[in-house]
Amino acid sequence: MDYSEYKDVFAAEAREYIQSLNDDLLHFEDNPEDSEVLAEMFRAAHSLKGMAGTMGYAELADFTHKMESVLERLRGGEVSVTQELTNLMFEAVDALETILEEVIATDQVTTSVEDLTGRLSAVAEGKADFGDIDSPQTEVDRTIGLDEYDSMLVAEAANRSQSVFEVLTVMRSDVVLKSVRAYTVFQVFDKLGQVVKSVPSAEELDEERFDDRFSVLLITQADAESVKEAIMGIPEIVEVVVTDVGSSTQSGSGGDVAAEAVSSGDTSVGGSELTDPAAAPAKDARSGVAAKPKGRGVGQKVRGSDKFVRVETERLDELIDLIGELVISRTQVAEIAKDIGEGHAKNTVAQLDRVTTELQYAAMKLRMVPIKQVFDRFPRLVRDLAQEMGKQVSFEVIGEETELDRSIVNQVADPLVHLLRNSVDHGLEFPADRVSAGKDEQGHLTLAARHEGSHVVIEVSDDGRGIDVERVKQKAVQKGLISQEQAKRMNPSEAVMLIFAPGFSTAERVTDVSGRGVGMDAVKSSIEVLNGSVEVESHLGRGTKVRLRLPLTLAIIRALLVVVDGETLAVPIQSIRENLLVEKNQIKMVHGQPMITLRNEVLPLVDLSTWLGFSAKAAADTYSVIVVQVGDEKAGLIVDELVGQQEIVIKSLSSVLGEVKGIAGATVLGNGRVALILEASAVLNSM
Amino acid sequence: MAKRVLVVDDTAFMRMSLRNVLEKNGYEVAGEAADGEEAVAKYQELKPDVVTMDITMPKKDGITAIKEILADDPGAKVVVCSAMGQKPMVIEALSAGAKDFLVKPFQPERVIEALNKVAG
Repeated sequence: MDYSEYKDVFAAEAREYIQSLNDDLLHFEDNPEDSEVLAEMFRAAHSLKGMAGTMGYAELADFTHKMESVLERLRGGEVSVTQELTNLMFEAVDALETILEEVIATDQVTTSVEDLTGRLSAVAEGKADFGDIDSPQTEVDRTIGLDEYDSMLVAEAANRSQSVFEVLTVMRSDVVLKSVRAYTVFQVFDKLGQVVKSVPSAEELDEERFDDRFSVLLITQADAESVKEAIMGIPEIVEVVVTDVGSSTQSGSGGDVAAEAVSSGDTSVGGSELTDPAAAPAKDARSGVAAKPKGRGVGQKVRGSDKFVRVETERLDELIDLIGELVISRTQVAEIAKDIGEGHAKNTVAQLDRVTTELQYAAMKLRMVPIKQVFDRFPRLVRDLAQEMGKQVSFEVIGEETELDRSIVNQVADPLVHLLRNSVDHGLEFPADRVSAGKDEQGHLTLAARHEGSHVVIEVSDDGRGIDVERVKQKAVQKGLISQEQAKRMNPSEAVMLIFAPGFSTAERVTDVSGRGVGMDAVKSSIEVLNGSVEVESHLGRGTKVRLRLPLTLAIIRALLVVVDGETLAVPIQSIRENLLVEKNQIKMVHGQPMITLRNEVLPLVDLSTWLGFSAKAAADTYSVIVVQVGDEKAGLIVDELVGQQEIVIKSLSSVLGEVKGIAGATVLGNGRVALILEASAVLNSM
Repeated sequence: MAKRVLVVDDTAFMRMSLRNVLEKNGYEVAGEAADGEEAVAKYQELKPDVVTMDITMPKKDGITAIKEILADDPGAKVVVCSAMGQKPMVIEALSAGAKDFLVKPFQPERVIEALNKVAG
């Protein structure tokens, strides 16, 4: 796996996020009531955090996490916007940029952001404070690690002067129906307060995958003694240990970022400078961040080597359009040279021809990148996740050479991370469970990309436990997303889509790795931003397949060029089964519809010219027919002439034209002419 | 004063063995019922301190009986009794308001522990 290949994508994208954070912050400073921009910043910080976590940059993930927490609290209206706070956020973005560049250049962070971290927490929380801890190494242990959401709840609890306890419950070792016993314990917890997290997870408890004990993090009004008393009052419970974690430091990990500790009091503010005064000026000089991060953007930043240039896609589009113009001019020059009939002119034009063609191709290539760039980092991600969860996963990547528009590739990475995480965390079972379900010990996870018609399809499929539709419905009802009535009426495929509803997650109470529904929600919206769609296909007990369909706004596809009434049309090769020459007497009329018989199969025949509203095809003895197929439907399309196969770059029709029936887009041919791209499915659907 | 128990089970054998365990440990069996309908009627009549309720019974199952008893007396203390494979029903009974559960075959000390905690 080529590490640097995706590091560049990461770097470029991370810089983009930082830029947008800066822009948004500027806007926010003037419009503090703009909740949308706040949400935008939150997403940027969140995405950065996820990316950094995936790359293994713990410090970066940690720091962005702090920013995210602050933004989250701002968003919830729990802290008010002050100049001090906006300044702090600007400093934070600057510091973020510094550590990002450092990480990109050296793969490590030496700049201290402790002071800033402390102040971020202090300002955001008022009094309570997310302590700064060393990012712990991922060890699956029985200490409760918190993700950002948990930390938020815990911090809120502190603000409302509730207590946060870690409660260890030990039951008799000979309990029959342990899971039910655990359920009765949770019933009591629910009366006492709110369980934020449980180790093992509620799911594991439910499936009896635990020994004789489990720990939960409980937010409650009650004191430690009454919590203990209440739980000890349950039969078969032999020991209860209640630890106040509102004031001690806990750590652990389970998610994409280093887990959070909860601490109160003024940790870390100014800490590093006091303990190491000599080091502070050095840091200050190098990064402009550490000691007194007052001057925004002061100090030089460590830039990555400039092997790559990031160009706005708009500029690339402009370049491609200009080259299109050039191609047209070239064709005209060629015509003139032909008229002149002079040998030297002809040679020069032939040379011009070659160069422009290559130029055109090169420009297109600029926008296209193989999805490998993103896929490459996933084997490692899956491996780490599997190990962390104690699962065995064989991971297969298919179609990584599929080319995609660069902007799409960059934006599809995050959603895919979410989906893969979900599969490993929720989809695939533990080895023992797989064996008892009659499956291989090793779970199978597949990531596949391919072109399909005018789309790129990316599928994440696993052979895990599948989605329990009834449970999904129940959850949705519980969360008030739908009513009981709606739940009853929903068919399974509708119900499955509920997992994409904002705020939905089946493992809400105790998610460890996959987050809490913010994931699937985010997947859907980021795909929809790309004009794509998300489908889920799940069979209980057999696995889940999530299919992302992305438009090929500018993807290169192979197409067959055909001529219809003098117009050149491009028909995507994927939808073509074969080409035929049909004799007049082979055509039969059935209910006024011309049909042909092809290898015992009856196909409707369509005169493409008439269908497109051109002049009808004149009667002839033989017709050129292309057989198109979408799904199970087939039809023969009559065309005038087959020109040949070619790679074409799809361009969408302008918004002035909007959607035109049967036309998927247009392409500029080598001769500078525009060819419309036929959408075979539209022809078939119209029959 | 000895706590009064209503024992509900459709098999005479189970009622007998439960009675045996309870009486040896200082409980008084106030009455017995062989199905859910009888259980609801007996509860209203006897007002016991605790009920042990089987789940699978003719006429009216244990869960329905628990719900009816609790609707009538929200303070009712019911311990649900089940076989190993009835986890979903036990959960349903608990969420309906049963105070605890016992799994057959009963271990006498477990029965007493549950009743002590629930009735005590």
